[in-house]
Amino acid sequence: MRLFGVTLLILMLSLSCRKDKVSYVATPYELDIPSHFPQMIIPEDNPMTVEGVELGRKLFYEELLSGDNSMSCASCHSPNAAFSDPEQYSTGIDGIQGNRNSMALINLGWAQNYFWDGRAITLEEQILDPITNPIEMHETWPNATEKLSSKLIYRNLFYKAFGEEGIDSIKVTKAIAQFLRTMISGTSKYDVMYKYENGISLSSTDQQILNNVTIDEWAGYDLFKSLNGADCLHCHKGTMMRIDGFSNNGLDATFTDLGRAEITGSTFDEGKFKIPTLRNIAYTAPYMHDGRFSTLDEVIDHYSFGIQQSSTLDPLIEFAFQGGVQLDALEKSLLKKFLLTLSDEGFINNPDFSDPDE
Amino acid sequence: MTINPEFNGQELFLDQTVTSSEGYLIQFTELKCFLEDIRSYENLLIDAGLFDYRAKGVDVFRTPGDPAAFDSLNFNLGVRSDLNHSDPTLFPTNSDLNIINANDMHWDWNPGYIFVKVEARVDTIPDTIENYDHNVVFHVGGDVNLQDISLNNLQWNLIAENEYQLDLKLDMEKFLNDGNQSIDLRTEHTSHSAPNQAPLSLKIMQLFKSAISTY
Repeated sequence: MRLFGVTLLILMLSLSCRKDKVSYVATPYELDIPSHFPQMIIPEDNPMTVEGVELGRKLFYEELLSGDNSMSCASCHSPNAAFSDPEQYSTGIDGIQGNRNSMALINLGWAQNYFWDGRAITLEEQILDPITNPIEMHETWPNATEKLSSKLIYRNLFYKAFGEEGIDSIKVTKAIAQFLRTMISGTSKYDVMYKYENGISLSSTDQQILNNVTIDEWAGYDLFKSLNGADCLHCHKGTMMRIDGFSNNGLDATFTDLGRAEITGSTFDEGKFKIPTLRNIAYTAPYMHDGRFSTLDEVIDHYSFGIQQSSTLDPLIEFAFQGGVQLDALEKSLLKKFLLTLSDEGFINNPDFSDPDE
Repeated sequence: MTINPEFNGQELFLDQTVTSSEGYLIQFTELKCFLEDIRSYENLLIDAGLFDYRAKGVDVFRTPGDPAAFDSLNFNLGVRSDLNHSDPTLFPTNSDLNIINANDMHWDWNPGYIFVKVEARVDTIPDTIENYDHNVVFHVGGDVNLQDISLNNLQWNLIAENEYQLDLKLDMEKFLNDGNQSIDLRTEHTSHSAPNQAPLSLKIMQLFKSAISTY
């Protein structure tokens, strides 16, 4: 009888202490999309939330995701370099260098191909790659998620972001993708020029910026767009300052890196690489897929006189027969002045993109 | 709706070598066009469809509709003026006119969309060596070059339950010579619709229109 009483008491106590689990509902995140930008398509299985973005930002700077806990996404995508790598080739945790320059992370929410060879077609898929890549962060996903799971703060952050317990690679990539989608650059001087020329209403701040656009910058913009000038507009235009596609821009006559062809297997894609945005280009040196050019002057010289003929050369480089568009010194100077209008200090210095633990 | 490129009565693939009536070797590398305001009288089927052979294959668009209401179709080859110069970011994200979907088929608010894009490599040298001496770049747009197409007595083929398909032919041999006018790729190989390219631009559009037909 006494045993029955004790058992009943324990049962009653356990029942009285039991609480219904309340699932955490994350807060929807409102993207701050510039008025002249298209709507961003968010994957239905990864809606933007305040908690998801906060977690993604922390993970972007998290060195536990690498094999020796020394490297994060930001190691090769530095905020000071518009989230690219100022080194020609990034060096992984084992001291091994790749053969391509790290791409700048700008307006990725509107991209349809990722990596220089386009081997990923979603942002989430792209993020999966560097963590296990042996020449980059060289970690296994089970190890990475186990390390995160050992930290109370991450258990809490993941629970808040996804409304359930547990950490896995899918959640990690989703959270980082949410953070990357917030990294929008649309407040450069060029944006005001774009809005002005298309009759989009300008704010008072825009108007002040417009008043400071110089004659040389406008002339450089005209040159940029001119078919008989710098002829840049086929690949770099609009709000994204790029098109979604791949091009052989005449860097080499023969290829040591096959680029897009490594993915498609087509000889017609040899030497083609993803067309990058020119936004914040002043910050993203060195240039080209292999970072061969250290300065914008070298880039402009390439398109002026350095085009190499090959079977897959982009037919839109129409002056290839004479080595390029042959800009003179004044034209080069004007073009460079325009390219510098693509710098977006608001993006570079946005505190919401910085390391949350610093 | 599908658009099926052909050359000399055979299915045409990109990067494949075909021979023109002049004996030129041709490798088409891009075939794209905008069809807009696709309707049968007052019945609108869809606002626009982008044919992009490399990226999307033969499929142009897929949309709800009753085939019985669309036994004829009228549409623009290109984009009519009021849409052509409007903000390309404001179209719905599922519209091919949205800048993200139009991608490289849009220059700028002015002159607007590229209506027809044909790119190719051509060997015009009459020898036995394959040496592609010309790039063909036809990027044609501009309000004055807009064409309208009417197709009647359409056959919608049942391809699945409640799913019908209209197959159109794009005869690229006819694009080069439709009997009334022709393009000599040796001398006429570039147009970006610049003012000094106006006659060639118009001819490209007229020939592309001529090349589109039902089976």
